[in-house]
Amino acid sequence: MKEKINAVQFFAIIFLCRITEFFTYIAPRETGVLPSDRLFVVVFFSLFCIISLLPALVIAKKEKKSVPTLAKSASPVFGKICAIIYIMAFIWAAAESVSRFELFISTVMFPDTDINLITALLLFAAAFAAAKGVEAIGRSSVTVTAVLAASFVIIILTSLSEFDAVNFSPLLYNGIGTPFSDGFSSASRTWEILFFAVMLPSVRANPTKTAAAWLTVFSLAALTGFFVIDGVTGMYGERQMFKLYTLTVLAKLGILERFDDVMIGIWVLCELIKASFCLLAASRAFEDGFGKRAPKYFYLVLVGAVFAVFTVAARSVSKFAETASSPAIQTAFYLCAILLPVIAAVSSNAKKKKEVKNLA
Amino acid sequence: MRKIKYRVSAAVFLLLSVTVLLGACRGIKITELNERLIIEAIGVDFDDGEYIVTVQAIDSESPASGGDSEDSQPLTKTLVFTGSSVGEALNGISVHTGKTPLYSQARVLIVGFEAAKNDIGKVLDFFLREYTTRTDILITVSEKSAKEMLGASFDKNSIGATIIENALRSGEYTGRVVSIPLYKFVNLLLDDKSGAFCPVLSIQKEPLADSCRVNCIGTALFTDNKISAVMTPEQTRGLLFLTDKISSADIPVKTDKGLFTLRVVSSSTKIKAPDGSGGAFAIKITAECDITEFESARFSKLTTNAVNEAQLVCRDIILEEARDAISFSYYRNNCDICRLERRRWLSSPTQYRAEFPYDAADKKHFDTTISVEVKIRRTGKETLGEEK
Repeated sequence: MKEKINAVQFFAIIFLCRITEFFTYIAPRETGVLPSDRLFVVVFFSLFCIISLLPALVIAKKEKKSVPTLAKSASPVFGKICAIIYIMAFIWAAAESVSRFELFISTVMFPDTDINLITALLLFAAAFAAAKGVEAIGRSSVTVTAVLAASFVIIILTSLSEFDAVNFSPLLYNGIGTPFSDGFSSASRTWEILFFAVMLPSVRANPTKTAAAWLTVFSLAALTGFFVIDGVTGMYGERQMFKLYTLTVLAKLGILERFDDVMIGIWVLCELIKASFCLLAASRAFEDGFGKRAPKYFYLVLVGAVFAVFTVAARSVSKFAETASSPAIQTAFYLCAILLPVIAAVSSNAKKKKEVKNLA
Repeated sequence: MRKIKYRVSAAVFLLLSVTVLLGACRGIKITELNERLIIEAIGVDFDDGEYIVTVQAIDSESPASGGDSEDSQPLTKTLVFTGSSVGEALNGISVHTGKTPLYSQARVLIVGFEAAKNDIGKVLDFFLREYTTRTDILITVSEKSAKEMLGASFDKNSIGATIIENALRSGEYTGRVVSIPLYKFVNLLLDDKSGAFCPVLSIQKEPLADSCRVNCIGTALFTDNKISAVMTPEQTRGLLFLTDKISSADIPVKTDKGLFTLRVVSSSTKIKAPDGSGGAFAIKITAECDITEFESARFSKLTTNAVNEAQLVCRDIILEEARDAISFSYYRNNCDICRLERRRWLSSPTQYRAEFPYDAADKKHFDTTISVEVKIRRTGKETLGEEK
C-alpha cells in the first residue's frame, strides 16, 4: 500500500512548484505584452491549462489510475514507452527549474561564480527528500506555503505606497494576439499538469476541485503580483529579468528592509520541493509503467540526468530562453499532457471492449 | 540496533565530510568584507568622448579614521577612473585598488551636467543592467561635474554621500527639492509618453569655514534623454504640487492683516483626463496647511477673516507656482511632468491613436486647467478672535 497525501498537501506542492516559475518569470519570447494585458495572458494561460488538465482529470475520475498504469493495461510496451516519456518530461521540468534558479543565483547573488556545486547539492538533497516519500514532501510543502503566503502578502502590501495607476496601459491596445500567444507559451511550460497524470493515485482528494483550487489561487497570486510590479516599477520593471525580485528589493516595512533575502530563502526551499517532487514523480512513472519497484540507485540516475540537462540548458541565457519556450518543447508538453493520456485511455478502452467481446 | 548504528555512522560520516570538504564553501567565490570597497556614492562625467567615474568609498584602511583631533583622517576616500564606457571605468576600481566594489551600499548617483546633456540613457544603462547596484539609489545631476561634487571637502567626521543624500531628501521638509530614486527616474525616461526630471545640486563654500555645503539649485527636465531645461526651486515646488509628491513646505503668505507662514501638512493632486470629444485636463490640487507664524503690525489676535484671507492668498500662490511649473516644463520645454499624454492614452486609446500617429514628429500639447483648494487645518496655540 503506497502512502498517500491529502488535498491540502498536494495543493501546496503543486502551488510551490508553479510559484517558483513566477519568481523568475521571463516573458516567453520578448512578446512585449502591455501591462494591463497581463490580465488576458492569465486568462488564456488558465484556459490552456484547463484544456491540458482535462484528460488526466477524466482518467483519474473514471479509471482511478495513473496514465502510465492505464497505458500498461493497454499494452506493456506502451506502458514502458509512456513511463519513459513522463520520466524525460519530469527530468526536463526539474532541469528547467534548476536552470532558472542558477540563472538567478549567478546573476544576482554570486555573479561570475560557477555554482555547479550548489546545484549538485540541491539535487542530492532533493533526491534524499524524494526517497523519504510523498508524505514528507507534502508536510514540508504546507509549512513553506504558509511562510511564502505571509511574505508575499507583506511584500505586496508594503509596495502599495509606491503604486501608480498611470504606469498601466489601455486594455488590448495592440490586439488580443500577443496575450493569446503569451498565454499559450506560458501554459506550455506548466509541467505541474503532468503531476496530475502520474501522481493522482497517491492523493486522497477530489482531483477536479484540487486542480481548480490550484489554478485559481496561482492565477490570482500571479495577477496580483504582476499588477503591483507593473504599478510600482512601470517600464523599469519591464526591462528587469527578475521582476518579483525587483519588487522585493523595494519593499520595506519599518526597520525591515531586506525582504529580498527572505524571498531568496523561501525560493531555495521551493526549488528543493519542486526538484524532489519531479524526481518522485519520475520514479512513480517508472514503477507504474514498468510494473516493478524502482531500483535504489534510480534517484541517483535521475539526479545525474537532471544535472546533465541543466549543464546543457543553463550555459547561456539565450540558449536557455530558446529551450524554455521553443516550439519543440511546446509540442512535447502538449504531447505529454493531452495526446499521451488520450491515447492511453482510448487504447485501454479498446482493449477492455475486445476482452469483453472475446468473453462473450 | 544494527540499523541505528548504521544510521549514526552515516550521519557522523556525512557531518565530517561536510566539515572537511565544504569548509568555507571553496567552490563559491566569496569575497570577504576586507576585500571589498564599500562605495557610498558614484559620480559619472562625460568629457572628450570618455566617461569619468568618481566613487566615494569608505576608507577602511586609513588609521584612526574620523575623530575630532587634527591628525584624524576623513572617513572616506575619493577615487577617479576613466573609460570608454561606465562599466569599463568602474572596472578600474578592481584594477587600481585590488578590491571588489560593493555597489549595493551606494546612496546617491550623481551625473555631471555635461553627461546629462549628452545622453543620460547611456550613463544609466550600466545601473539598469548591473544587479549588484541598488534599485532605489537616489539620482541627481550636478551643476558642474560629479567629480567636483564628490571631491568637495565636507566635515571630515561626515560622509559626503550622506550629506548629499540628506540634501536630496530635504524636499520632504522644504518642498523645494525633488527626491527621485533610480527606478522611478528610469521609468519616466523610458516612457515616451512621460517627461523625466531629477534634482540639480551644486557645491558652495561655507562662508565661515573651510568645508563646503550642498545646495539644490532646481530641477533638471529631460527631453529625449537630454537635459532640456532647469527649473528654479520655486518652480520645483509647483512641480511637486502637480505631481502629488509634496509632503511638507513652508509658504510665506502676505495679506493685509499681516504675514502668515503656512506649513503644508498634506496635499493631494487629482488629474482628470478630458473625455473622448476633447477638452482640457483638469488638475485639482487640494492642500491642508497649518499656521506656524503670524506677524501682524500690532501683534494682534488672529481672526477668522484673516485666516480666510490667508487661505485665498495661499491658494493663489500655489496656483501661480503650479501654472508656472507646467508652463515652463510642458508647454515650453516639452517635458510632460504630469504624464498627460500617458493619461490620455489610458483614458481614450482610440482618440490617442488618431491624435498621435507613430511617425508624429511634433507632439501635440494638451490644454490644462488648474484649480487649487487650500484649507487651514490648525491655527497654532492661539484661539481665533472676533473681527472688530
